[in-house]
Amino acid sequence: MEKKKNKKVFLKVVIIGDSGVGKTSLIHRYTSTRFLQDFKPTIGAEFSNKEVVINGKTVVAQIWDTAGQERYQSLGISFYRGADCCGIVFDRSDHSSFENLDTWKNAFLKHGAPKEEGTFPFLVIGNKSDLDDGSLVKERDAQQWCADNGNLEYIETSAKDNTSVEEAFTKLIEKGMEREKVNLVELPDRMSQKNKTVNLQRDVAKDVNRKPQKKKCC
Amino acid sequence: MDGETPPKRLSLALRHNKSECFSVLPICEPTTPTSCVTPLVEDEFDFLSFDSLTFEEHKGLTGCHKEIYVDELLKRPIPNSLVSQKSPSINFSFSNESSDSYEKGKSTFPKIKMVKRKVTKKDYKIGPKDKPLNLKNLKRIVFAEKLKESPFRCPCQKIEGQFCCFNAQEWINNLNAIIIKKDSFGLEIGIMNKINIEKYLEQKEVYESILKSSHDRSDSSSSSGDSFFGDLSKKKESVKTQILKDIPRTFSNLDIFGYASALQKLYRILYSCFIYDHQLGYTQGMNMVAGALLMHTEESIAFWLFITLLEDYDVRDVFTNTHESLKKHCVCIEKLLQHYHPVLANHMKQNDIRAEMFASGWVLSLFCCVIPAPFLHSFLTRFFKKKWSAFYSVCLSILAYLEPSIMKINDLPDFFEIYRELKLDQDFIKYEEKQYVDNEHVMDSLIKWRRILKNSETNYRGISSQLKKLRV
Repeated sequence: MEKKKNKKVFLKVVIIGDSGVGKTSLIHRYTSTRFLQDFKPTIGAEFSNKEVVINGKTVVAQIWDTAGQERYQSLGISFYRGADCCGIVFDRSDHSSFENLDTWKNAFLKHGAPKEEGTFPFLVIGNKSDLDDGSLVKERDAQQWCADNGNLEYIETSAKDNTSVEEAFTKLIEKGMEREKVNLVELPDRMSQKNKTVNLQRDVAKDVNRKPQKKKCC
Repeated sequence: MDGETPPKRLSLALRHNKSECFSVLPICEPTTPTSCVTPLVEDEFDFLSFDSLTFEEHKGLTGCHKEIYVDELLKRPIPNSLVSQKSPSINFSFSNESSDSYEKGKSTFPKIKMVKRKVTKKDYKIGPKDKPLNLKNLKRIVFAEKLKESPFRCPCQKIEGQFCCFNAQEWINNLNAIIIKKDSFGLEIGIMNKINIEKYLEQKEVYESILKSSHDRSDSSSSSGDSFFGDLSKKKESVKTQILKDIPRTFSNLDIFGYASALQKLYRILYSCFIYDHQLGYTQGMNMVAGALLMHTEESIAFWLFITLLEDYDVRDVFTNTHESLKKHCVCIEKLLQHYHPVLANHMKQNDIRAEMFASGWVLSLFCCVIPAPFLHSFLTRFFKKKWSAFYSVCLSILAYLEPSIMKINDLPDFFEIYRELKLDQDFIKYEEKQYVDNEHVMDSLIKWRRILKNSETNYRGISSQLKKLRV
C-alpha cells in the first residue's frame, strides 16, 4: 500500500467523439492490444485502466470510454468532470464526424467544466486511417481545425492496423501529466492523505459545479 | 434516366462474421415487407449475373462492422481463396456511368454496371498505391443471406401455433393494462386490450399500418416543404443513420443475430418506434432492449412489447433527451444498497464509486448489455412482473456477488477491472449451449449469473415496500 501512495500518478483520460468512430476499438487496442470486430455500442460509459511508465513515473490511466450518440452528451456532467485530458476522436472516412468536432469540444468544456477552458489538454484523433480510398478527411484540414481551436495537437490512427494508437495515448497521457504539474502542485501531499486523485478531482468539480450538482440531486 | 422503371432502393451493409465472411444485409425502406425483398445474390458468382444494379449510397453504417460500398467492393481484387477454388476466368469490373449526374441531394444514384471479363494481373494492383496488397489478408466475400425463412429463433420451449416462445408468452401474460395507442400526431391508431395472442393478426395490422404511415409522411414531407415536416425529415435521417450504425452491433456475438433478416426486423421495430413516438426518437440502448425482445417473439409482438415497456413501465423516461429518470434510478440504487449492504455501500462511497458510473449502462439498456443472453428472458419476465423493483434487486444482487472483490479494492481503477470483467460475460456466452459446455471460463460465468439472478429473487423480497419508504 505504502508504495502505491507516492509513486503512482492517477490520470483520468476521457475519450469522446461521434458514434461509431472507433473510440472503443482504440481503447481496446491500447489496453489489450487486440482489435475487436464484434462490438456493441457503448451505453453510458465504460472504463479501462492502463499502467504506463512515462518519464520515469508510473501512471495509472483511467480511460473513460463514452457513448457517442449526441443525446448522451447531457450525461457528460457525470463522466467528463475531473478529467485530466480528453481525446476527441473522429472517423476520417466520415466527414460529418469531423464536422462535429466543434460540438464535442464545446460539450466537453460545458459539462466537464475544467478549470482552464483555454488551455485544457485535448488531443484530436483521426481514426480509421486504414480505409484510405482518397476521400478521407485530409490531414491539412484537420490540422487547420486544430490550429483554429487553440493549437490542439492532431494525430492519425488506425485501431484496426494498430497505427499510432500507442503513440496517441502516450501523447494524451503526457499532456495530462503536464497539466497536473501546472495546476495541481500539491498533489503528492494530498495523495498521501487520501490515497487517490479522485478526491482531488471531486474538489475541482465541486468548486465549479456546486450549484448545478445540487439541482440535479434533489 | 426518364422512362426507366424506378430503381429498387437497396442499401448494402456488410456484416463481418467471425468466420471471416461477409454477408449482405439489404436494408430497405421499412415499408417493404421482408418477403418482398428480392434475395440480392445467391453467392459470389450469381452476383455477376446482374447486368446492372442501382444502389443507394449509404453513409449510415460505419462503426466496428466493416462496411463496403458496392463500388468499393467491386474495386477490390479477387480474394485469393475465391480464385483458387473456382474458375479464375471470371471477374467483375464496374463502370460508374452516371457518376456525373450524381449529385448530393438529388435522388439519382450512381449506377453500377457489372461486366464479366477475364482476370488480369492488373486486377490485383488496384488499391492504395503505396501499400502492397496482401492477398491473404483480404476477406472472402460471400453473400449468404437468402431471406427465405428466418432461422432466427430462440432455443426456448415453443408452444404449438403461437407466435412467440414460452417465455415471451409469460411476459404477455403479465401485461394487464389496457392500451390505447396514439401516434405523435394525436391520432388514435389502435385500441387494444393488452397484447393478446388471439388478437395477433389485428395487432400485426396496426404495426404494419405504422410502418406504412412512415412512408406516406415522408413523401408529403419532401413535396410540401413545410418546415414542420422539414424538421421531421431531418430528424428522420439522423435517427435512421444512428439505427443503422447500431443494429449490426446489437448482440453481434449471437448467431441468431448474424442473419440479415433478423437485423432488418430490428431495424423495422426501432424505426417504427420512432414513427410512433417522434418526440422520443432513438437512443442507443433501445437497440439492445428491442433485440432482447425480438429474440423470443415475432416482430410485431416484439414491437408492442417494446412500446409497452416504454409507456407502461416508465422506461421511456430513461431514453429521453435529458435521461430524466436516470438520476432517480441511480439514487434509488445507492439508497437501497445503503439499506441492504451498508458495509459495501460505505466502502464504495469511500472510493468514490458512484452509482451513475457503474449503473448508467445498466439502466440505459435495462441490463440487456450486461446479462448474458441465456438469462435475459428470465430477467425480463421479472421486470414485466415487478417493474423497476426487479431491476433494483438484480443491481443489488450483482453488487452483493461482487462484494468480496469490491471490498479488496482501494482505488477506482481496481473497480474498473471488476466492472469490465462483469461486462465481458455477455460477449462470451452464446445462446447455443453446445458451444460452451467444455469451456471452463464460460461455465464459471454461467454459474455466476445463475446465482446472481437467483439471489436477486430470494434475497430482496421486501424491496418494493423498502423502496416506498426510501422515497418518502
